[in-house]
Amino acid sequence: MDREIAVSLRGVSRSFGETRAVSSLDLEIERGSIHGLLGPNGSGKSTTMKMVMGLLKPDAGVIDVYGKDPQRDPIGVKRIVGYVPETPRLYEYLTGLEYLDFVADVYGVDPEVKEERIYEFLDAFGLDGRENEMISGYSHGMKQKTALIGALLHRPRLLILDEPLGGLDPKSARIVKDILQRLSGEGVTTIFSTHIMEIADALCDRISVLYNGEKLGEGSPAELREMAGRPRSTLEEVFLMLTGADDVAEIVDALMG
Amino acid sequence: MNLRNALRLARIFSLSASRAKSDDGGAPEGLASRPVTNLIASPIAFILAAAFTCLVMGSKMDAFILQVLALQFSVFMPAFTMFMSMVYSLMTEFSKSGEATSTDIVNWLPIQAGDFVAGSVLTTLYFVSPMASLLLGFAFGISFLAGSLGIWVVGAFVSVLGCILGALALEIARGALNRASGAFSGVGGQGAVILRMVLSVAIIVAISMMFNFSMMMRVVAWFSSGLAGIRFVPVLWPSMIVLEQASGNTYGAAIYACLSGLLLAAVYIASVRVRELYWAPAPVSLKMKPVRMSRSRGFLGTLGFDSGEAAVIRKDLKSLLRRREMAAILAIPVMVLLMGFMGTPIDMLMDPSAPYESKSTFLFQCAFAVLVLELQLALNAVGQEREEFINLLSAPMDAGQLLKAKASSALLPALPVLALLSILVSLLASIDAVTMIALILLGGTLLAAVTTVELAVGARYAIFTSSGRTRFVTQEGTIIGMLLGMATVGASLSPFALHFILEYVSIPIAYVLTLGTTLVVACFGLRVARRELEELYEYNY
Repeated sequence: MDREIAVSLRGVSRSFGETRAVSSLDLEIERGSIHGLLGPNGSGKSTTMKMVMGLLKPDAGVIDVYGKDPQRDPIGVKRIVGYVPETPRLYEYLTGLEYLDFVADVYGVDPEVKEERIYEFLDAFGLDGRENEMISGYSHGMKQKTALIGALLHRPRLLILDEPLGGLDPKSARIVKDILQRLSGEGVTTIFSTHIMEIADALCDRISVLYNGEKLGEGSPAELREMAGRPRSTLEEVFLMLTGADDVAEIVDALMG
Repeated sequence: MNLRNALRLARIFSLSASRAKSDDGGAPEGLASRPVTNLIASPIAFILAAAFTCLVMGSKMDAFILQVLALQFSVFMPAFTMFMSMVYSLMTEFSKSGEATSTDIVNWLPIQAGDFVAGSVLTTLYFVSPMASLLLGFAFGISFLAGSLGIWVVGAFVSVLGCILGALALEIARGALNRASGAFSGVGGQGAVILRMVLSVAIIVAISMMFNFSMMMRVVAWFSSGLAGIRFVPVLWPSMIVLEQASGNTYGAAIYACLSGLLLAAVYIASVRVRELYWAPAPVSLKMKPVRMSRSRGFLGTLGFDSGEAAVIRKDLKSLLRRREMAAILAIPVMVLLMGFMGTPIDMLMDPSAPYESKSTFLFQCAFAVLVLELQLALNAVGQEREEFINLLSAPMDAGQLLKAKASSALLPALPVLALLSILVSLLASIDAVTMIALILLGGTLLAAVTTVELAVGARYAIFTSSGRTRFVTQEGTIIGMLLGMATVGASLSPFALHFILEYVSIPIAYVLTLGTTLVVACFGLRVARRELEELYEYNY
């Protein structure tokens, strides 16, 4: 059976002044897959996601999202994408329910199903009973959950989640993982970045390791281990080896005397 | 109070205020990033103002007029500097969120409330010093020419006292606002939210008015036939020192100096006490009534807005009622309106036989208040999104939809005010229905023109970063917005000049020309605003 490519990047580059954030990046992400972007801070994960979303213009290269170019048809792309930035920015003077109502209306969710869908998610994420409180009184985790619900409300075909599990308690993190896996089964593609290797290992069909804006490796977690010549290592060890940071023990020794 | 702590805090506050002025959230470079700029600007402003006054006035004014002017300036200076430091702080500091200002410092550092108040007052003094120096320079020039430098010295000294009083008053206002805000935290509901906003606006207006020289004179005039009651108005005591000294009554000047000292002590103690009690704001967690999710298109839908545009409008209207930063924006037109009411006796307003001209100042001030409200709402419409703008950028909305939503949310609150004003005008000026409709049409078009122009300016100079920011638009953008707002009104109404000044055309023709010009300005503003918003979408986030 032919692979259906949902998102592709070909030779995509992006610089900020003198700093090269992403360099000639090639990526193909299958429809319905969960694709992890793994890399240390400043490796180009967020920049890549924003370019796919159409929020950043690449200096070079071509991006295709379900047959649409984010630069030529940004509205078309945004209509089918759900996006959660690294730090969720919510209108703090709205209640959680008002915010979700706002998001649903902005994405044109059918008014007939809007309320039911919002309450389903609120219930699933354990926010029911708190939905009429102003977001200014929410904890970081609650804000993160509200942002995630907002990204899911319009049933996107592509989810772009920048560090989606940061600040979530174990139960909520598990709910997010289960939801992502279920959505994957329904054909929804997910791109997400994380620093947590266990999550990437357990959740991702494929992982791209980025470092200094370049792709160092790509494959399933098992393939990455093979690639690194360490089939029995943890993903964290593979990651540290690929990014040239496997001297952690020496650094700790030096620090601790 | 520990003076060393106060000086350290003042230095930190000045640095942070200087560095919070850049448009893009990054630290400005060069002289603009350093508080020392004010130390350089203040003496330059003083010397330039004094030299200018000496050169321009020296050859043209006779000695008697110069002496009168010198006295008036010296008496007026303390009251003006008091109001100036109050308004400066109001415009730049007030909208700062409680969390972003001092809570952590008060709670975690080994400092006392008095240190913080003193540091904050010193910072205000430092930032108003160029403007105060300009005023002192003018007064110096006049006093030098009039040969009354002795009175100037007293006036200048008391002006510093005025600045301190104004800055301290703001500290009380901040505390009172936090108290008012916290009081509603346990109540909840839309009613409590609206009441909180009304109370916030009332506090800002009341305190600003209390420290407004001209307003206090009007209040005094209300309660007494002459100026005999002036001695009962504490904010005028510093000015009375100068007045008594100028009239040779040293005893009287000493009494007012003592009274002013007592006033300063009382306001200082009150501001420290208020800070101790209320400054660290309790986290406000208001619970609202469940939102009703309509399955129909709703009122905005019937007006032609799509679901996304209607959602943005509803959100912005909630923002207007719920965000504390909006209190300062709403307070300014309320102050203008209040001054209009205070300036015209109610008997005269209600007397149908009173000449129209006697009511025109009041009517003009009402119209001005509506324009100021519209200017403020439109100018801040885009910047108020702050970092949450990412929600709109990542949503399937284009610049045209956003422009339509933002223009509408800025216009919607002003239109009912315009309608009320028109009814008021028809009652006071006894005008016929046709003229009334024509006025409403022209007023609405003029508001639309101001809205589009201010949206364009607001989009270009918007501040999207939240942390440490005191405003939604840069200072440069605010000034440009005000100037362009005035230019828009001037250009739109210019055809009326043909009738009233040059008497070239009749009123109906002047009206049609004015309406046409206003529409052209509105269309031009719309195009520029759209381009500015498109650039925001192009901007790389």
